Amino acid sequence: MNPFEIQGPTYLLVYFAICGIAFMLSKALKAYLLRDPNGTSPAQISSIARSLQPYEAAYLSGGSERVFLAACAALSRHNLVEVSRGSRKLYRKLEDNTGQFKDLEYVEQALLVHLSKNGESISTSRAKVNNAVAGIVTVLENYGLKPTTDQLRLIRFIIPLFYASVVLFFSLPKCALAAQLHLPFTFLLIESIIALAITVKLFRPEGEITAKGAAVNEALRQENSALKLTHSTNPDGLSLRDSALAYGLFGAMAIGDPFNDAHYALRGQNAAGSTGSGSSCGSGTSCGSSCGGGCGGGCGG
Amino acid sequence: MVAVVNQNVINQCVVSQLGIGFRPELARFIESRDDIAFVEIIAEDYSHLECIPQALRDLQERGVTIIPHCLSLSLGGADSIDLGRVKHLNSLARYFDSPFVSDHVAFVRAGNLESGHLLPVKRSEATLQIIAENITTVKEHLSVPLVLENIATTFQWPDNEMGEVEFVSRVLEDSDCGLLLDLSNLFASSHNLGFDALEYLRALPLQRLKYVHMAGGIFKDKLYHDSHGHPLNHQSIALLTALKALCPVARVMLERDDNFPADGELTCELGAIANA
Repeated sequence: MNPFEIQGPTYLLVYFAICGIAFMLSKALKAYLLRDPNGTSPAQISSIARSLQPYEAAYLSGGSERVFLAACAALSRHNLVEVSRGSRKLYRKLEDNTGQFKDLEYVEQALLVHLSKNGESISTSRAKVNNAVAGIVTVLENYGLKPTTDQLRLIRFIIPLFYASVVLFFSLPKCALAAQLHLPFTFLLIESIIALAITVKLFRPEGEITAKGAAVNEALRQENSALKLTHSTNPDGLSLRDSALAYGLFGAMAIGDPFNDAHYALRGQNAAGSTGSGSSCGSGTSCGSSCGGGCGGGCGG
Repeated sequence: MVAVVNQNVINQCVVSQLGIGFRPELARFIESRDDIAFVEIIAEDYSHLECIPQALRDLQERGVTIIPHCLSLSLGGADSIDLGRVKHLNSLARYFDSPFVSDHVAFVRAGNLESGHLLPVKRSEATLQIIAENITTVKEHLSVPLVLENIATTFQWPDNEMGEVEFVSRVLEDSDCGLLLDLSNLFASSHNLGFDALEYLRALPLQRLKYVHMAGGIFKDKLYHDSHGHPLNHQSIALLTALKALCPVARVMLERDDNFPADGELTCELGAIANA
């Protein structure tokens, strides 16, 4: 049966099904390309997770943008950098009089060297950090956590091309024919535009990691649950390295940090209009104390 | 049966195990320490089992013993025991496979009023009777032993019929409970009420000792407040040294609830406890 002979709403349904199948096939192909061919054991995954540096973990969690945000957040938390929402600039708060910057991570050094007390724009600062992540990418590729250039080429171009071809093949001729015959084709056009938008959204070019990378990322998040807990309650008690790891792995939004305001500035968003992915308890239940005992005021618990 | 086995294990333990009160603010520090053998959690902080953080589960998986510590049973209160609180405490003990649970020789509510503090009870035969009945009720609903802690106080009721150490000892003997000895509370009470802490130590039934609390406090208006938010004082450390000379101390832990210091300071305090 020729699908082009189907008319009206029935064709819209068929077209929807075709797009769905093409989407599933694309995702399956992508998962195949990103698979872990060696079947790395959980122990090896855990070992790799422990060997990663904070900004390598940050890249694994959210690409270079996460690295930039983590560096800004950690340095801001430790009073080395100030993020101004008003001017959308980053300021260095201290001069490196004692050479203490040399002990910082490479990404942090790159950012601090670029900044001055007069402030630098967020966009140029982001570019500096982006340049500094090249080494991180190499490390992650060597571990097999990030796809190789060939894999990336397939993921970024071939798969989206296949999906877009299917979407357009079953919509463009039909739309052209409908236009010639003065028949309505608005819904089909909308459906195909949505399908193409999904292509762009779901096959995002940045921050792609392999299945092994995803497993290491999950292991990192699991193994640093204590860090997340402490960061959400006592962020000032953490070292710069731990702060960077916490921001890198979980993001400022997820750990309910006061840095959120600056975070919005860095991402160019309005705090009031953004929803983000913040979480408080996670469950619907209240997890606080309901007791009357308490221990304040020197009662000696 | 489980309780008997756990108690035997503890009694055989001569070498002190180091512990710390688990607080979210300290989770990272605790996770980073290999020498932490046990942590104590405040039962009221985890009103539902689903509120238990992954970090605590990770510690349990690592073999760290987790002891639920309760603030609100009000064992010294004349009101009947809230069985919901006891069942919650027991559910935590079962969840963590804890060797025992603990609460205080104190009361925290009366006539539907919550004090917000652990208050001392009047030391009398009548109170002993009330506490014994309350503990009997609690133990009926617990699957693990109950351990009792001495509190710190800045005052005492008039017409007490016996001294603090005699009272605490009688409570322990009458209820057949283990002792959680808070040496900082002991120092605070001895300073505020004017008794000899060493004599108190010698008079305690130390064969019942299960673990020891150590915490920092602050002198204010001639009183010592066991704040849990200040550095450990040398008097409490000296009491720990004295205690170790009197009996084997299986477990000692540090409590810190406020003004969380840098890791280095906590490490020093744990070192002082370990080396006392």
